[in-house]
Amino acid sequence: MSKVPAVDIMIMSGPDDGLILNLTAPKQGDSYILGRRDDCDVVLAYDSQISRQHTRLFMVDGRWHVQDLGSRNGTYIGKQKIQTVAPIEPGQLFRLGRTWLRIQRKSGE
Amino acid sequence: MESVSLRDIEAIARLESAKMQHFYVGVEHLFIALTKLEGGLTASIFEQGGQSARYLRYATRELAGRGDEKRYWPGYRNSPRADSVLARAQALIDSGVQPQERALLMAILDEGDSVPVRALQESGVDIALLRDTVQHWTGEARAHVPVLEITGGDWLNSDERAVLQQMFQKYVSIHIEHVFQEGFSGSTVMLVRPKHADGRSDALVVVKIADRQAILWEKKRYDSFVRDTLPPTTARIESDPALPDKSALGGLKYTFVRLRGEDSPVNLYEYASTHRMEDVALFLHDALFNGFRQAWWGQAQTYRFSVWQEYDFLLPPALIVQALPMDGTLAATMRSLHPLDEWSRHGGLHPGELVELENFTAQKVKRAEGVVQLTAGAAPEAINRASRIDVQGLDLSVKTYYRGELVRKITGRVVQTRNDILQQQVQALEPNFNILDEYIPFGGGTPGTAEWLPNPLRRYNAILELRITGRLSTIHGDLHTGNILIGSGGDAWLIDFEWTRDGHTLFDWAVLEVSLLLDHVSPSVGTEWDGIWQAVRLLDTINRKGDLSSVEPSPLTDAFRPIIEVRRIASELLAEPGRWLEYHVALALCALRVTGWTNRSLAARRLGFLASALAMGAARDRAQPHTAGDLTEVTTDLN
Repeated sequence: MSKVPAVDIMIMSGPDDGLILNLTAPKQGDSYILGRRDDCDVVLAYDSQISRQHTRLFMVDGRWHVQDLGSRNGTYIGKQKIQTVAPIEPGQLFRLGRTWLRIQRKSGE
Repeated sequence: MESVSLRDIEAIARLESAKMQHFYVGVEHLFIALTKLEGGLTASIFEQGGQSARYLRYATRELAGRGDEKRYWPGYRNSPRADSVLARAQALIDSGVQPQERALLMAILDEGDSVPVRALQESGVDIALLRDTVQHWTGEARAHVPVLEITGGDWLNSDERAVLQQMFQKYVSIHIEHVFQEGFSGSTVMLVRPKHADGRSDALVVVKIADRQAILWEKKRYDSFVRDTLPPTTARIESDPALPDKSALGGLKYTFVRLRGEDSPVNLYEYASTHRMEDVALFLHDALFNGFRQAWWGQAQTYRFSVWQEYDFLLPPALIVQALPMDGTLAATMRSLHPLDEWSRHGGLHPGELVELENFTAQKVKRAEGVVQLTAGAAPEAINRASRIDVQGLDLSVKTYYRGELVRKITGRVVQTRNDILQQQVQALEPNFNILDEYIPFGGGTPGTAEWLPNPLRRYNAILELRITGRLSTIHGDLHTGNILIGSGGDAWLIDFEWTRDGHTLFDWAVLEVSLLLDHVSPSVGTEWDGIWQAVRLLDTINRKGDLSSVEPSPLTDAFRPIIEVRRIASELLAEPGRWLEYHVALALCALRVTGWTNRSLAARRLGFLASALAMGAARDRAQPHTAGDLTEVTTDLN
């Protein structure tokens, strides 16, 4: 596992739809944590279908991956529920609870 | 409509937001508000383009999902994306775009990333083309929409006419060439020839009119799971469903690649009534099985599954629950039920008990009756699994549910359990045996016979708990004789994809066997138990020997020919050659389902029940054809 770079995440549905989060470094360890709890890197407080620590976002060999952290309702890429870990491309939509998200493409990508 | 302002649209958007328990205004609410402006530009453009505003609303809502019960902030706030879209719209208005409705729709399409735009893309709308239409729309075309002339359909009611009017609005007239006979599934399927103003006819299409929820669901499934897996000769759904406002009905149009002017298909039910049974058998193997084998049933992989995972949904709901208002005083005695937990398979619940249903998914919403059917999840595999609960007594005009939505919590009182419902259904058959006994005397208790069949009411739970080896492939999901069309060239065309999914391969063939049994055997044996036992004995012979060559030929044995063909096809699809347990289990549950079909004759329901008993017996302890014994329990595993 390599060090995790900065990344922009856009929220794609719900009350914060359109919001861009500029993540520069994980609060802890070498991956970003998405969930409902305050100490997550991405806090999604307005969706009760999201678990406290729901999904982990990290990079392996230059490629982003999401891992479901045993959440109650699962993590989806498009319509597909992921089995623990799956690679994800910038621009691709993924979903926790009913909240859709997207890794923004870097300018020039 | 010129006077509708952005502020007016935002107000409608807030109402929509409240209905979905969102309490924020997002682009999805603005879009839905636009589609609701009666006679407005948005509604007209979609109507003219053959899209249904109602379907697009549905798809948008489904993508957005319902919000939480609790509010996180007072009043309404706009999502950042909604703010950005509204600012764009205002800039367009300032630059002279009118009416304001047009500016907002253009802004939504320009922004391009919102929930409704994703829903539009998913249902096949070309966004750039739509943007162009919106910008240049003059609204004149709408004034000229002619009233559709319908010939050959004097029997149509006004709701059905409204569906056809919307579906064929680009034509001046349609002729209904044929209505497919079947009439048990609750939908109307007909063959329609549309005509242009200049007298030209277009290719025949097959139209299905049914409950609009079912129509919506079928289109959604077709888009998500079916479109790319269809073999070349089957029906395609190429346009949005027709869903007239203020109607409980909707319609779908199936087009066929090879349906030419001279072709006039019939369904298998009709075909079998006018053709020799050996022709029917030939069609089943050569056209139906061979036609779809490569794309569907033949693409199978072996898997092990618990029977309930694939078959539980055929039986009545596990529970019927009367909804009660949330009330703190009830909480202490309430039992909390989650999808797929112990209770769903082992019962232990009783009428009168208070329950709290958590995290189920709304599967079917019967608005008029105030009933919502809940299942374990929204994905097709979860719908087909256990844990179905019918909740009644909901006021759906106050708070409604969408199909596929997660329902956080409903409290209520158990009214009936599955056992109660099944017992009632079997009691209605006026049985000449005790429905509480473990066994039914084979042949109705003729003195001197020592054979017994298991009573399905006492056995079904054990069958559902079996773990068996089967094959997993794309299946049609409702392969009864009304859904199989036969073109004049003898091709097999399938319609009705409401239940198409990846599932147990033999499911389709068990459904078809039961359908053939009810349609073409049941009428020959009458309603009395004696006649029905006669049919069951012949089925038993087929179970033991593979066919009826050992029996004196008669019109009744002839009626079994298509069923014998289905068994031959099934034998090719068994996961383990010669091990028929897999098929009998499927058959037992498909046949047991029939006892609850009150629109079927008493004879058909009696035959279904006994066919289920026979299959349960065969699944347990009968020697099977094409094998040298050693069958029972090999593949079963009661864990």
